[in-house]
Amino acid sequence: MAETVTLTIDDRQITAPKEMVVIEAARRAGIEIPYYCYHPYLSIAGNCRMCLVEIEKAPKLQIACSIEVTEGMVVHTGSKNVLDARAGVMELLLINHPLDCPICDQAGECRLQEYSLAHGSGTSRFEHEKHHGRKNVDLGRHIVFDEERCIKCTRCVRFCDEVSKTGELALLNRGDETIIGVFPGHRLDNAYSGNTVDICPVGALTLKEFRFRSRVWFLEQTPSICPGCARGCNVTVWAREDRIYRFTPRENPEVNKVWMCDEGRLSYLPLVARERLLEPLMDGEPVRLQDAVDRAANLLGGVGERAPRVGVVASPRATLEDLALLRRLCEATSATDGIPRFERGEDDDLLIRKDKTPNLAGARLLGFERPAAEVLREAAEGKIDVLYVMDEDLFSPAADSDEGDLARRAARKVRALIVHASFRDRVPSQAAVVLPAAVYGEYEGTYINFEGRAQRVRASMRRAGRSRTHLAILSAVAQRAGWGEWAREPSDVWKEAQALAAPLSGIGYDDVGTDGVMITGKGESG
Amino acid sequence: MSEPILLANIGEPDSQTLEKYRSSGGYEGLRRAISDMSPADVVEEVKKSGLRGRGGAGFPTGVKWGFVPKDSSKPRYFICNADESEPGTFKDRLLMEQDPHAVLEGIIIGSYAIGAREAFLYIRGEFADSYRAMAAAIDEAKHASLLGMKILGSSYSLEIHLFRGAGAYICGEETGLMESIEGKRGHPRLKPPFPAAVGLFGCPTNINNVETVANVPLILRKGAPWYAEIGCERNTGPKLYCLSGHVKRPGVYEAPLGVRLHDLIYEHAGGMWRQGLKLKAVIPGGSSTPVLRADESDIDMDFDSVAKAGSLLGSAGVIVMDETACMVDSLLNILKFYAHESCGQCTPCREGCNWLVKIVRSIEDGKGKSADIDLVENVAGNIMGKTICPLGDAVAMPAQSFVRKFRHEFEEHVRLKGCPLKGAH
Ligand SMILES: Cc1cc2nc3c(=O)[nH]c(=O)nc-3n(C[C@H](O)[C@H](O)[C@H](O)COP(=O)(O)O)c2cc1C
Ligand code: SF4
Ligand code: SF4
Repeated sequence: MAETVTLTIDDRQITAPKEMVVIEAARRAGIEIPYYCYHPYLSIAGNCRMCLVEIEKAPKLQIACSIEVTEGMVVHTGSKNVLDARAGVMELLLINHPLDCPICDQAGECRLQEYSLAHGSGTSRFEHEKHHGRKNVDLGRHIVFDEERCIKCTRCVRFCDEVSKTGELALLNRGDETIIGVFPGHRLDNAYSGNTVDICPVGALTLKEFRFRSRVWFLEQTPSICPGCARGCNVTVWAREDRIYRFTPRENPEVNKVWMCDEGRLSYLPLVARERLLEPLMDGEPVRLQDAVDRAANLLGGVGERAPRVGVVASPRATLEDLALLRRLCEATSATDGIPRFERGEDDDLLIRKDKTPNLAGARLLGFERPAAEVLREAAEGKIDVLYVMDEDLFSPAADSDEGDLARRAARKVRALIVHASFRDRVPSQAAVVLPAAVYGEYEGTYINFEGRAQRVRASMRRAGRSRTHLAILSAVAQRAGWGEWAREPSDVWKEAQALAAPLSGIGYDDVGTDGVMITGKGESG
Repeated sequence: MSEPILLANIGEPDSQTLEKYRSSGGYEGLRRAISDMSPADVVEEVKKSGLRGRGGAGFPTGVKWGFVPKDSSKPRYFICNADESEPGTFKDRLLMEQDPHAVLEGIIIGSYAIGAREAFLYIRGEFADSYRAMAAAIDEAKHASLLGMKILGSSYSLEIHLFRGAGAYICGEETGLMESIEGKRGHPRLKPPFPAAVGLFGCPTNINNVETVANVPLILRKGAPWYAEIGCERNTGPKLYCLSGHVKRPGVYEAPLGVRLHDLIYEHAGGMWRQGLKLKAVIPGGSSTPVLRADESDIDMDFDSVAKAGSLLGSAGVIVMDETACMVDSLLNILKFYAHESCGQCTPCREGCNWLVKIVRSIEDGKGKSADIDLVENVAGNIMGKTICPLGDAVAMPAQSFVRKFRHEFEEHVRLKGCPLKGAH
């Protein structure tokens, strides 16, 4: 336990760790001190002056974001001096602000808007020409900047200096001509640039992919996990009417602090852009789900002499629960199995992992270790009769040439190919049965990140068309194949996963919670 | 008028040379410090002298030196602040141009006292002559073993870096200056931590004004008791006063701290520049300090007395205004300077300075309303004491004092829809 001190804030006795700043100590006690430039994951700039408070014995007001608590300190956050100072700062922040809230994308999550209601005077005494700035400045691949709305809090600058460590942004000019800008010849194009939009307290920085798409208050928020890579950044999924509009990072000090990378942030875009497979196919023709499941069960079924040689390719993008049932299918059919890798680039020292899938560690926990290529090679060599593939992207021309090539050769060679597919574009024409699978955002379950942290991914929309979750498809097949009644709810399947993977024992489905939980068996260790 | 001490060399031929400086006792103080005294003794001596910083705030120099930790594992730095940019102030450049060795000796003694192995002299960008004179002095001192490795044969070594600013007033603020040396924008830092603990490049740092360090050799040469006799209680030593404005002989004058302001104006500077025109106002300590009306201005010019009179000694830039000066226009002129020099970092100063300019300009141009007069005071109040660095106060203090003390002139502008003194100068 760190050393603590006792202080008084607004007549309340508060105990706080030494070296904590007053603004945090107050927040913990439920006393909100307003601020713009302060950010718990960035260095202290102290420039907005919104958090001025009165500290007894200090000669003047102090900023609560940089003053550390001391024993016996007495703080007033609502005295007349403080309220006047705050109203003064609010007024000064607004004199050169365009007040264009009705057309501003930040409306609904703008601190300037919130605080002017709470702390402003409601009228302006500024009767001169406002300082005009550039609108719609194209700062980077994803970022648009509105100079007039910027309050120069430097959060974005500090982010690029301290977090992404790319340093593209700076303050330029002086006095009330101060602006944020990029160095000549540079753009705000780092792999994490979208975070500047999240931390911009006003509508100065907006994300090209989200601006003007929707007012935020129309969107429903679901806590979930980014599927973009093995880090598993905690995110909030913003959706409406079965469509995802954006991802924003959700705080988890253990995983991603409050950040996420641009690629992950935009990883929902293909979900919207690619054409969904909405119904089952048999030999390329739409059929009833029941018929497709029957056919799959038939192809996999058979005993003794008539038992087909089955090969299964799992997906590191499926949930732990999906994969638990797939493991059972492997057992029921004595299948050989493998798992593909979807890797690109390199791990960086912030968040990004080269493994572009969210659950490889979970798949390994359930015994999916062999490279998919081995299974595919056997299939291509005619050693496998029925190939069961959980993720159609295996066949993608974009996938690693080796695996993609082998997969396409295997598809031509095997007697029957069964595929779970969410989109139409990559399904091989040879597939005997294609089962429409739910996509990210439509299912719930568990991912295990590269560090061995189990995290809960949640549904934020209804399944499209007649698509089903992987585990629903698998238990339907099992039932038709006569392998018994398999659980269909993730929370029930969790128990089956526990039976298959010892490190999960003692952890309940609900123990995973919104912050995740470390499981004892290490995941991928590097 | 007493004999000049600080300016003793100045005006003499070759005053800037080492030979000339040594001929009148130059570097004797350094010799005494290094050969007879420990660094702690030097700090003690300067404490006893009562020397207070000449950079504006009047902070006791010896006490400041004492704040630099002795046991830090990091290097310690000594900085001499030669950014002199406060309007009305032009004393430091005189010392650097004409008596550079006095400045240099002070820096070396101060560096020895705090245990610095490196010192920086940050010179305002426009001061080309000061730069040349200081660079030449450093060269001479190095050749004479007064600087560099093993000074005067002792075990103490010191390197001095000359650093030229790029013309920003804010780089005179001590932490803005350090950022500038580090190669960044001159943005003042939050305090605490104070430079004595975390200064230049994150290391313990002491910073003093040029005139402050120029006093140090005298103290070491002639002793603290001798020094403490000059001036008045708690305000010891000789002081340079910069007289400008409507006086006959503007310039730098030396007098002991506590000299009468009217003596400076009417004797040293020869009185008002035009016959029959009376004194209206005096800004006693550089343009950032509160203005005094003529009837308030017969005061002692030391830190405490000027503070008691409601202003500040500041950098002792005495700006004298006669009846032809329009107080609204004068304030506008001051405000424009600070609005231009605001670093733009913190809200009240960034936004407030130029707002004040806009309001006061509209009053001066005859477009003001009477509510605008209160607004000036009020907006200044929203800046005062609420900013990262004292530049906020530097704009608020003149704004508030001009309006409070010359309110009738502001009202007259509103009533007459214009400036009654336009063209009167
Ligand atoms: C805006 C601003 C500008 C300043 N400019 C100067 C300057 O040009 N020269 C100077 O010596 N001190 C200047 N100061 C004061 C310095 O911050 C610092 O207090 C001083 O150099 C300390 O020296 P001293 O202790 O010898 O007085 C300035 C302060 C502020 C707030
Ligand atoms: S763009 Fe946003 S985050 Fe950056 S300084 Fe301006 S207001 Fe702050
Ligand atoms: S008071 Fe002015 S000059 Fe000082 S830090 Fe703030 S904006 Fe910069």
